[in-house]
Amino acid sequence: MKKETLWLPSLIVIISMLIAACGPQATEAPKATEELAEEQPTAAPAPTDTPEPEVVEPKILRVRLYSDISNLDPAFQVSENDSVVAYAVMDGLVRYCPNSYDICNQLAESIEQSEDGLEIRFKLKEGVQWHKGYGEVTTEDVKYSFERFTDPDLDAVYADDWATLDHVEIIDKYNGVIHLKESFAPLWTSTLPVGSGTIICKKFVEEIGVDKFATDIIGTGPYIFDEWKPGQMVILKKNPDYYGGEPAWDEIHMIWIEDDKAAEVALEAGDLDWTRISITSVDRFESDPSFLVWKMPSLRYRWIAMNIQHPKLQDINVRKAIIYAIDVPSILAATYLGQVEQEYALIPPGLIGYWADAPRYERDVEKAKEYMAKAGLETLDLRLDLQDTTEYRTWAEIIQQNLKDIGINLELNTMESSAYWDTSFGEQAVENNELLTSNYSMNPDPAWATMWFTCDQVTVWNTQSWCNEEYDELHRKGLVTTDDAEREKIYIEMQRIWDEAAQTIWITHGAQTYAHTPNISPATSPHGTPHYEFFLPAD
Amino acid sequence: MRTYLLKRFAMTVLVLVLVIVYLTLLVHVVPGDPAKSLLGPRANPDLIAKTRAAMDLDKPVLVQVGNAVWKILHGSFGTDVFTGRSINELVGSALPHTLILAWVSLGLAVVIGVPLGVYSATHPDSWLDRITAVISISCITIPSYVGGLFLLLLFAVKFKVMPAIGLGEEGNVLDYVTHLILPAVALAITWVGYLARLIRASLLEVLNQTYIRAAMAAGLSPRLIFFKYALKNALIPMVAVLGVGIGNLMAGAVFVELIFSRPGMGTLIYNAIQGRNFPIVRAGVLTVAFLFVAANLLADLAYTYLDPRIQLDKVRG
Repeated sequence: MKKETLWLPSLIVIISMLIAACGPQATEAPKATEELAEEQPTAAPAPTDTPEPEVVEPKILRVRLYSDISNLDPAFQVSENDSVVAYAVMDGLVRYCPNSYDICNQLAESIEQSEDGLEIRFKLKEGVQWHKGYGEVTTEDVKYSFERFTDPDLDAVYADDWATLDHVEIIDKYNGVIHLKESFAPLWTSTLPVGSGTIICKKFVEEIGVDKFATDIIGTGPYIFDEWKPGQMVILKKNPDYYGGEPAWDEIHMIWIEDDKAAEVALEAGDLDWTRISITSVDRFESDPSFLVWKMPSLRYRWIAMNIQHPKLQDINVRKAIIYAIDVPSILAATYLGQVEQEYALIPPGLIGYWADAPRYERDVEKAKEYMAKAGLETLDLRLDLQDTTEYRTWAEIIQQNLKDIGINLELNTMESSAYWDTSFGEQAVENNELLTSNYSMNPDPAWATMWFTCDQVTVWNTQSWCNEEYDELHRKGLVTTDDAEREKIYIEMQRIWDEAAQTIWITHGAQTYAHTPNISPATSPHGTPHYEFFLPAD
Repeated sequence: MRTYLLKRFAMTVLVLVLVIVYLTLLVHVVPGDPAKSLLGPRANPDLIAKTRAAMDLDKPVLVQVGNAVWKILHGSFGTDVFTGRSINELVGSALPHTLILAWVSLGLAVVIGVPLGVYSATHPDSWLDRITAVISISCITIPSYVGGLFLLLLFAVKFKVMPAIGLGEEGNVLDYVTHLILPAVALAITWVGYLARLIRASLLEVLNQTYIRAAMAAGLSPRLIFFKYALKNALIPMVAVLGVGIGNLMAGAVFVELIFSRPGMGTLIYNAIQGRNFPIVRAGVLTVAFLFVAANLLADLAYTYLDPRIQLDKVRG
């Protein structure tokens, strides 16, 4: 017993170290892919009398993942982490070009929509090979990739993206037609160029099953999904047979670092080449010549919602008083240190429907008091629900002081994130919510922003509990209108109707801020999602 | 001893069942739907219902507890509904890293803290004793996350002599050890101070015992008296503290693993809590609870080695 007492801890340490450092990883790639790898011919041993070849260091790009990957299947990718990994491995018929909202062909040699918007005819590039020896990409794969979204047994999270899909017709190995039941404008903005437009390998998915496909993928992209070490990193390796030319990096290491500050330290220590940084660190990195800062506007819209069905907020004069009382520039200065722009309407700049002439409401205490008087109120008690983050607490403290100036006593109801999402939305929210801080993200199509504020969303995601039939009708029209100019008018009109109801204080669309070493040349979408497949070594 | 061990085993099982019950009830108390949190706002109701069913959340609490116990009795924590991976595998890949971190930290704390304490006790009120006191108390007041950040900024960012994040290159033991140094030191700092003060107080008390004086009077060598009679007895409180302290080390490891981006039980549980992935939370907490109970048992057993007068059967039984 005495010896056991002494040796047990030592044994545990030694065994653990051996398991951790030397043992086989619990997360090896599935057998199917391993077996294929083993079939590759092995190189003959080098003759002993020849000089050893010069060792060339592999070019490795080290970037950060904000959380571990969860599901890489395009039908189920919930987080941006999943998307950025999948983008580097899997292609679509088309994708957004680097740093732009222009559409570039990927697997499509050509692609064209009929005038009525119901048919999209495409021709695949010939000879494009799937990773790991799964053969050539054909229209059979395209049909499988898109039609599975409408399969009720799959229950795809993103089934809505293909809700109007009728079927994909196979003409031959490379030619096909996507048939829609009705035209669907977001198809070219938030379906085909993003995750839901990804082409997956039918043979591979059927072989390994949908469950395993969540964390083991193949594609046709510049990088092969080589290994996932849960809780640590994802390793992508160069695809030597990439149809688009030789990829820039031998390997991409996507390292999971949960915390922004820890990632910033890792960048400074030389363990990362690229990471998202907190907005408060932008100045520090900008003043350091060892790093470059990459800042892009975000598509995330942030606002304070006024629940117009709550008795205290049914009078539009009260709502206007609140709008004029709140000092949004002060909120931006205190919360984001002047690194973001104020927003004035729902749809962000750069997208169809951006309302450049949206009214600017500046803080005007006298005017706010006038509206309070019109409502017959001298004082009012209100409650603001917010998530317990530094960002929203800063907002809330300023708003509380602003509203005090016009006689409104604001109670701050701070909630942990999950509690906030559970209690501030749904049927109970219509009765309970008063003021609410909120933010939603979107894909680059205006319909993604307007869809949550229709009448049928009042008990779901419509934070203002606001229902306007004209707005709803325009939303439906915007979905099926394929002419961009016409859509622009529709979405601006929707925002005008929204503004008339005076139920929102817009704050900011925010910004995506990154820092990187000077030895890389990054590429992101115009709204800041990194596309590692387009990252290059700097000149 | 056998009776004692059987009782302790029964107690361990009881503790683990209580942990399962507690965690199952927690799911119903904590606001937020785990299935919605996992699947995101665009998930359709059918998929949410399926996910809830896969997590057993659609069943009564008692059935959930029963199912969890049944699975564990069969050696399985179940499958992660989101990634489709075995939770045993997830815990199995995280646990060794946390064990190493905790044990190496504990080792460092003992190797540094005990000599400091011994020196202070054998040189009471000397200026070195006073300096040691200041250092020890400073160490006690530094939380592991503060120590970790400080070490990171100093050795990884400023001097760039240590790696900042991760575990190191797979299969490279030296690299693994290099990546372990800063996290282990960060976790050990508090314990160094704590053990130094504990050993000092304990040793001073033992050195004033009559049997030590008697041994001196009998003419035994000071070295023999110190190592065989004094230090050995002074270590008993330390063993008791370390037994309980393994729980604190696990808690500290959560912060250290996050700061140094090391995979481990802390990171696993933290992320599972954030994502409301309760099957993983349950497996992780249960594993840590088991380790905690096991560490306490080991500490109890160590008493009998250090002081044969302590008979566990009689004390507890």
